[in-house]
Amino acid sequence: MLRFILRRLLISVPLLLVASVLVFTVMHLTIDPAAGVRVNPRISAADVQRYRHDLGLDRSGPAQYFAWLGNFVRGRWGHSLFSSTSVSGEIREALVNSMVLGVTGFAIALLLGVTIGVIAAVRQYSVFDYLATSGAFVALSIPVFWFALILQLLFGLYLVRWLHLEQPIFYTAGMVQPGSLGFDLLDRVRHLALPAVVLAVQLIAVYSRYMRASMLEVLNSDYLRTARAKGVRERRVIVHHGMRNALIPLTTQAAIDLGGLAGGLIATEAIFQWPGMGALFVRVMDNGDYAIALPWVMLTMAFVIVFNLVADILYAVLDPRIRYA
Amino acid sequence: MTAERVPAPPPPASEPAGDVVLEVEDLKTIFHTEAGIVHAVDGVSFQVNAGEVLAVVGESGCGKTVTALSVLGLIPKQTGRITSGSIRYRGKDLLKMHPDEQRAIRGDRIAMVFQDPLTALNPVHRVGAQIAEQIEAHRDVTGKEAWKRAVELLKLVGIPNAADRARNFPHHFSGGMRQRVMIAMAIALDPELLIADEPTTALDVTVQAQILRVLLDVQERFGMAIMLITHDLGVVAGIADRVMVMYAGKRVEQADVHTLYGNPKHPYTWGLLGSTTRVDRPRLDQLAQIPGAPPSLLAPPPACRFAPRCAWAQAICREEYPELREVAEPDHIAACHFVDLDDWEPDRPPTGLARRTEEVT
Amino acid sequence: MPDGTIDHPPAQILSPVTTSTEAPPTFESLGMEEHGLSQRALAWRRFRRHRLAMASLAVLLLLALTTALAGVIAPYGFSEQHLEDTLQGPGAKHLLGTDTLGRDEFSRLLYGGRVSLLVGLGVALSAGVLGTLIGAAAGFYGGRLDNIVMRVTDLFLSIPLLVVLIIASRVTEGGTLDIVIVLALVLWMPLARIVRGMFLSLKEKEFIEAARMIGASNRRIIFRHLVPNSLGVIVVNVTLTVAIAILTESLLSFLGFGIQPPTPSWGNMLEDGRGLMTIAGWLVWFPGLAILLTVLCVNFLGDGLRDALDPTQRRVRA
Repeated sequence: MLRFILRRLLISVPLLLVASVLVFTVMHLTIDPAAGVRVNPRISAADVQRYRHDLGLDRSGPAQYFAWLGNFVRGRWGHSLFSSTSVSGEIREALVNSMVLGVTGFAIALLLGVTIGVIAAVRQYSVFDYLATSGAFVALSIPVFWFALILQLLFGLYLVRWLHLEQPIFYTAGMVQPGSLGFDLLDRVRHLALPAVVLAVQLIAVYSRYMRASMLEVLNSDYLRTARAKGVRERRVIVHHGMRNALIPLTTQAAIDLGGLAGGLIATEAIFQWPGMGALFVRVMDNGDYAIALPWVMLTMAFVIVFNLVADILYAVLDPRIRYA
Repeated sequence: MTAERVPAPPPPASEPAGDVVLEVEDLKTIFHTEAGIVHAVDGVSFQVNAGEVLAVVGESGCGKTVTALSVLGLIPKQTGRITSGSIRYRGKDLLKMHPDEQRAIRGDRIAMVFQDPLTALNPVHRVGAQIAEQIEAHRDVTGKEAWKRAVELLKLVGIPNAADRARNFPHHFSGGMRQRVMIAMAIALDPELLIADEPTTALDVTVQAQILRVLLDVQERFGMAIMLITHDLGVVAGIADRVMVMYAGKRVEQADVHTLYGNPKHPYTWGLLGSTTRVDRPRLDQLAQIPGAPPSLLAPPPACRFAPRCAWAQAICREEYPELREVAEPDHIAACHFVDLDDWEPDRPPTGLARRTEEVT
Repeated sequence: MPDGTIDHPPAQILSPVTTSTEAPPTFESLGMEEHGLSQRALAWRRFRRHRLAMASLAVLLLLALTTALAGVIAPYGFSEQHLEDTLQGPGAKHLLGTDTLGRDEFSRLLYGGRVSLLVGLGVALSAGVLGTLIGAAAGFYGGRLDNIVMRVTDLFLSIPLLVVLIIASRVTEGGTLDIVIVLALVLWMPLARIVRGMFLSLKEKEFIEAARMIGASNRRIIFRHLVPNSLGVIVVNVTLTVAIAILTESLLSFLGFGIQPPTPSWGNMLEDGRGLMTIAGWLVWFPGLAILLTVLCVNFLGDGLRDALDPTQRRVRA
């Protein structure tokens, strides 16, 4: 097992490197950080040259890349190209914000998704099953950003109007009330609610379907029949035998999804103005700040790779039939 | 070994402990399919006496497995149900019992061994835990005690290194070993009736004999009755006391094992027996086959269900259903219009009956 | 993964458990064959029973027809401005209202629908062909080719889809064709992995061994045995790719990275309407519902196709 883990991690390194080269090349070819300076008529050409030299922009492409790489692996991520904020600081803050949102939505979705899936499977073809299935279909077909907009309309406009509220029940923008200091849990929750719901709904759709399909397969299995033949209580049959097996594929998928959360939710964060990794990425893509973009991509990829590995390990832990060479 | 038996709960006080462990009367089980209702078991009656081995024989689809599942109440509600009949365990009708009462009997008094031990055991739980679960489901014991008992049981069925092996998972065992595990699990609480559904079908021939030995051994030790379901007549000859032959959801012949092999009366039984090689008969150039296929159970024919494939079918066979009737010897019954005819044997055409010569479709 | 990124192929969302690219047993390999009806006729019969799928097919065909005929049906051009009628709600003159420049929403919806449907279909077909060819080759020939394909797809599937697309959009113009190409170049990968998985496992099955034994050439094996048995899975996945493509294009356009104005797409119509949604809700409701309805129908269709083409599903209706 240890060898397996090491091998996987080793393979990931070239993957990350290749990705960094690709992103670097694209950004390098499409942005000129000196563009703003160049355009300014009050700066002489010689000064522009000096500016470029200071930033190391007059070196060749590959040279720039390796310079960046050298600094990157040493943890010196430097500063943003356009503001003087530290790259690691910006990314760290965005990451924390995204994780808060992501983990909350994820946890809700896992709980509800599994429950709905199990009930739908145990009561197959019932009204509940039918509703759960229809709901999942709709949730999978809804454009995320539109759903977010509608929620904004609903909570920010319609409910406020109909119920004559002073403030919306759940806030539709930002993480905290502007101008507030310190940490107010209720305020945070009211801001977190809507974006977390948007995320949760998407995940619930997937997880409930997964769980239902998985549970159905298990419910028809021979070993479940054996458990009943032993006279085991039905509840134990469903949980200890049924769910224990049915949860395996879902758990690995959930681990993978967890890894993906590091990339933030681009659309959701954009609409709810949540200052997370997604919003950060869009911003740096817009202005071409590859000092942030590159570490952003590397970090997100690293998360995905690590959690994919976790998923595989989890699979082996949960299913004794799987053993890695 | 002294303390091998787990103390059993006292038998239900209301009924006298008779000799008959299980009495099934006119059992009818149906399944809902896309094509319609399948009458898998269509009016089957039989009984199992204490300590005997009753073999239930028939080809795939004749209803023998469904009968077993019906007895244990394991017919999935979504796909089928028992429509009529009674299943009496020691006098009490299982079908009229409260589900909790049924569950108390299931696994404790009546246990089952399934056909494919690989899929019948939970792949993610250790073998010892699965046996212990059987015990803990019905007795108030600690986990440790149950585990200890599980290891003992594994030893009993002949698994070497039982203490270590109990910690293994099902996929670590070979087919024969897995089946021994299933048997150990089923006998854990010293049931009065053990239903074995094709316990050797999924195994190699050499292993089959071993498993049958284990079953016999267990039966001698604990004195339980065994209802052995199989399509393999060789297995039957080695182990059964009485044999019941099923065809198309119905019972077509029943006798003790010697009588059945020595003097079968139903043409289907002849077909079954004739299709195996036998050491005491001259070598056959070709194994006899029963041509044709069993009838669809969606709409079973009202007359004799074997008639389309029977080489001796007469007009009456296609018009009237041959109810089970006694053959000359007691306890030997067959569902054929012509059981009374003397000297009627497989290869010898009976007097007065024309043998069918045209091809059976 | 939500927000338009995917890290598992679409079919797995709605299909039974296998998270890997395991091939389901096929009709042939199960030795099943129904008398009298060809496999195709059987599949069609099964499909017909799925009423929602049939209805969805009808709706989609209707949609395709109306948007194709947008030039004829639409009362106005998509960038035709009526500055005297800006921000009108739905009414007689403008069926679904107008936007801030007085452009008729109904007409824009039709033209935008054309773009979105074209993108969806175009992406799905090209990604389908590309993915099938590459996946089949990788699965069948194995070895080095397979390794390369796996590494490349590993790479791109570890980066969130949207990230890849946004980065790629920096080098493109934003025309419809560009978007189709960019999307197809990414979405072929999950499909290739599925096809690869199918071919890998089908290759091991006995009926292939049997075909080899009687001397069938590689080409014959591929086209006569492997492809027909994979067709069901491929068709279902391509259909679901349509849904993903439509959703992703609209998301990209909404964020400003996709179809650029003045060409309308349902996505960028939503971007336009977003700022004004508190006073002109119709600008947000209609394009969004259009996307929802279309994608829902595609998903139902995919589900019906899976029922029809996957013989292993057990459905016992009491």
